[in-house]
Amino acid sequence: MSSKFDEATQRELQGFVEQETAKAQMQSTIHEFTNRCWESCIPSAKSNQLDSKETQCLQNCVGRFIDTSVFIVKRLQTSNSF
Amino acid sequence: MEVSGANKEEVKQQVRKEMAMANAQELINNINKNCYKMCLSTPGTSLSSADEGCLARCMDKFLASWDVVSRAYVTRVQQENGH
Repeated sequence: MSSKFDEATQRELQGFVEQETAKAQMQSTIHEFTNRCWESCIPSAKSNQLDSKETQCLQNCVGRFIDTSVFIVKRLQTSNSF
Repeated sequence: MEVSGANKEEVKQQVRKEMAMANAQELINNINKNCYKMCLSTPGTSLSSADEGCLARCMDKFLASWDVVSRAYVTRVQQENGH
């Protein structure tokens, strides 16, 4: 790739792309969580609004999923079988 | 290097635009998938008005859910980073 940009600009753009990539990964995680938690928390669309139970369930779903992944990593780190 | 300075912003703008597009696309696909599943368990020969009503409510609800999940996730990530 022949480059028109000077070195400083290239570095800046590289940093920018890394930032955008991190953002995209976060958005992708949010999509995944929304699908997963929708599945377990929203049984029907009788109303077009979330009730308080559904909202609470979605929040718990996100929290406990992250807890689960933290727990698993910790357990792997402390276990001698790996 | 003023010319490259202008191009640089164009590159950034283009990247941002494509990211936003991909994100919207993903959201639309997910609404489609989840609301089809919720509202059209027995698909008929055409979309009934009941189907459309369900799809509309489901869509609103899915967007609201996406919002709740985003907030919960971002809050948690910020907490984790704070420790």
